[in-house]
Amino acid sequence: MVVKIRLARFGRRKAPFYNIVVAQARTARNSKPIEVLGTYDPIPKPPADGEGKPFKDIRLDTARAKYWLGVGAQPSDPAWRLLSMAGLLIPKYRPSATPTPATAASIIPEASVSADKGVNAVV
Amino acid sequence: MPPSLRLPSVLSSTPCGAHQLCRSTGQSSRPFSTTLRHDHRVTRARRGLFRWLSLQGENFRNPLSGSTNYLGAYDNRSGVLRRVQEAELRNTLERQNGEAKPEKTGEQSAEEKSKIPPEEPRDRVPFPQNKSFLSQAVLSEELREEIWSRVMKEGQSVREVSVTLRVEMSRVGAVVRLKEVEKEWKRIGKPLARPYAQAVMSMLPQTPFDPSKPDAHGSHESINDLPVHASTGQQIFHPTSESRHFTRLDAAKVFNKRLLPADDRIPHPELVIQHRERVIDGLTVEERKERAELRAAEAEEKRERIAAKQAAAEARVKKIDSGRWEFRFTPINADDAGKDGRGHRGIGWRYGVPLYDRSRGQIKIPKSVG
Amino acid sequence: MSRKRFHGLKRIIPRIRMTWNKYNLYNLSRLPSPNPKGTYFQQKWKAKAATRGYHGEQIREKQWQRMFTSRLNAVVPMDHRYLGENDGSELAAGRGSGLDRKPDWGDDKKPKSKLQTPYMHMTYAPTERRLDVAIFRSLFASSARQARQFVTHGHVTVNGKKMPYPGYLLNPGDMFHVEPESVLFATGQTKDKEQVKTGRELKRARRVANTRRAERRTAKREKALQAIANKKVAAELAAEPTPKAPRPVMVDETEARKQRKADLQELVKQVKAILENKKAPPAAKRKQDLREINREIKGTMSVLNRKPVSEIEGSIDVLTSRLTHLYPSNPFARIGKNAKSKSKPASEIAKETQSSTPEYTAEEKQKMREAVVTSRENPVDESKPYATPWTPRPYMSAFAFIPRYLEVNHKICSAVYLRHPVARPGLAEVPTPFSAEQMQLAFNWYLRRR
Repeated sequence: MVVKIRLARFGRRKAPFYNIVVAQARTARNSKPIEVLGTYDPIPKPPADGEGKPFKDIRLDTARAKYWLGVGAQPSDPAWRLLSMAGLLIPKYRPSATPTPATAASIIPEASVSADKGVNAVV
Repeated sequence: MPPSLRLPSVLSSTPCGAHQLCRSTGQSSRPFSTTLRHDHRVTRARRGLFRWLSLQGENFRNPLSGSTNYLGAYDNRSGVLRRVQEAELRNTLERQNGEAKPEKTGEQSAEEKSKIPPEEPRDRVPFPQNKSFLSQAVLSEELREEIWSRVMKEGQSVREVSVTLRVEMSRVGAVVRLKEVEKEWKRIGKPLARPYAQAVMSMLPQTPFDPSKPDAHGSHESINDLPVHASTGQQIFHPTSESRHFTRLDAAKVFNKRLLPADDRIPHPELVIQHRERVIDGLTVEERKERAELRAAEAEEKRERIAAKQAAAEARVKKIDSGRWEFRFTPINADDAGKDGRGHRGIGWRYGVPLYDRSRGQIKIPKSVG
Repeated sequence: MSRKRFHGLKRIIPRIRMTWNKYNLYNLSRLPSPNPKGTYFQQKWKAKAATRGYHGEQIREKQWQRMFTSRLNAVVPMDHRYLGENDGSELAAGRGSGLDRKPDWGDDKKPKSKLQTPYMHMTYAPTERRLDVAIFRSLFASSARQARQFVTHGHVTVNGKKMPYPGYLLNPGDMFHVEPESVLFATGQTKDKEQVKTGRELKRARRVANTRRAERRTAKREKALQAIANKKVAAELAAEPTPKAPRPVMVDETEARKQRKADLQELVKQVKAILENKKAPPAAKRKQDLREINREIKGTMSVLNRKPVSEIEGSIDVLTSRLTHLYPSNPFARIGKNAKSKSKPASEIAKETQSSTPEYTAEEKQKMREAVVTSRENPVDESKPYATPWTPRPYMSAFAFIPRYLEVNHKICSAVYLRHPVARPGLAEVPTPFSAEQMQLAFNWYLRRR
């Protein structure tokens, strides 16, 4: 059985809200997962002080995510995108565009570690 | 019952159309309609209304210049201002008592007649049956401007301005907020509703402010309001020894273990401390200053601690700019959800718990707007 | 519900409503003092019916019952001197051993505790939290029902966001804003039939003109497109330098420009109205001046987006003052009233306007500035839904009060809900036309222990 890191859609119609979960690949989307790693709110919020860009809120337990990646959990594409932004994986699509100068330094070592540990099958 | 048809007693002999006839009988101006024009039928009730409107009600049609114009200020029988009536009564009494005066007051009375005596609190009762509701004064335009300039230009704290001008702290904040919006409108040239504002302000009692004498400013409202706590509503018989020094602090404890004494629940506890230092402890100016500085430093430290905590929390959030959005990664601990994943501190949408937000009887409209 | 039933002129004990109506004022004046008659239940029932007719008449009974709470907010104004001098032990010390004496309450001779706190008047305090009631209380609408309509029609924002629910319960610190146009409509005098008619005609004419202009424009565009297609000058077009991308403009600057554009359009309308007036056509010379002003306005409009805002504002001011000088009696406006300025030959006036400001005295300037300001702020405009120039509606002053839990800025038609209403010794902040006894009966009704 494959363990996957994926998003489970909750919320309401036109108001999505995702749990980032670790679950068996064959289980239903919203069934009880092995573990909830965090949440992802895809609806952009306006910045508090009125300056800067609107932001999207993500809560993530980085340590647990690293652990699950280490034992071979396979992220789905959207989950990969979020985890790569958090610096846990090498970006899958548009790898040149995503790592900004601020995050590039932090991404590389962790990403290379996780890539070594069996996730390279996906890469 | 069919509506009673009212015909004029004498029909003119000249040929008149149905239209004309209808109009004269008080029916609709529409020639085809047969319904009575109820609006224009004069009943006893309507007669009473119009009689009142033409006599006493005439006072309220237009605002009284230089004064408020409420129902409670008038004598409902005669439709004359109570204070005017009383002034007249006083004048006649005076005239009866001392008859030598009329020569001197002749010129003055002409002026006085045109001028209404100044209004009193009892003239500010909009509902005559309810004497415990008064139309209380609002801040005058000058006072608002002064509050804004003290906070925004001179950089005084809201607390300070509140104490010096005797205006509640929340009101000071609101005035500054609204003034800021007004200035913004002025800057971009958005039209203000100035004629409306002038008209409304002329109808309301105001707390005046003289910019040339800012120290002589009176009080707008009481600033040290102690909210009545629910647990002090009960009467408690609390036996204690006669020799015991039973203070407010102890009394609060008796009412509720977690209730703070009045000194800590009023909005301006610093006024109490200052007064105590000045009058009871009899400290010199230097000592008081020293203590005030100490208190200020303490408050500042507390503020800084909170700010530092916030800054640390902010620093933990990882921000990634993806061009269009900013993604904010907040670190959490997945173990907070507990062993069964149902703990209260766990994050995310919860499993196995029904959500009643759309069921019948629940309030669907938002409870707050950010 | 017809108005007559609503105000109940026939009733011996009339229903008081949350409106500024003259019917309501009359009813208020003839409201009899409560007469305790009938059983306790009957008294409570009557008191409840009367008070509910005023407080949240637009709310369903069940909804109100859910809002009702037996906890009534009150405050006690504290004297910081008293708190500083005493620690409370003076009230307890020596009780029963002859030391009983009245406490000294600050400076006042009369003890403040003698004033009762009118708790019962706070029965309907929860309804004051509603958005529609708060709008009515801030004098932005002439009745609670009208306020409700403003909310549902989307004319109200709370903290900058549109709030379509009249039942939204305001939280302390919430700032709400009503469209100034709606407020002016609600609080201004109504139009008479003639004015309604002219306004309607004006609007119709405007609509027709707009559609015609749009048609002409589309026709022209189509023609041009055809011409281009026929000539096939694509190569030439490619060779032409592309137009510069528009500069990024700050948001409020664009807002300001929009405003300026509206001002200019308003000016054009005024000039046009004067020119096309058939009852009192302007003299030929005057017509020339007006046309020149018109041309200049159009010139300003064409450079609206290129020049800095301040420059445009200056030019608008100059144009307005010129127009005001031509028609000083009622500058933006009623056309028949311009006979005053006709005593001078028009050419002289034209010369004066040409040679601009330095010739005026300070007083004249001040007057002119005021005229400009008032004309801009309170113009005659038949297309508005209220009588112009704006004046407050009749019988408004009898109802004009603002309770202390609101802080209102009428200039921007915004208000802040500071806190929940409270009672204090001698005063209750919930505006209610009923006596304490009646409120107490109503409160007891809702206590559900009847």
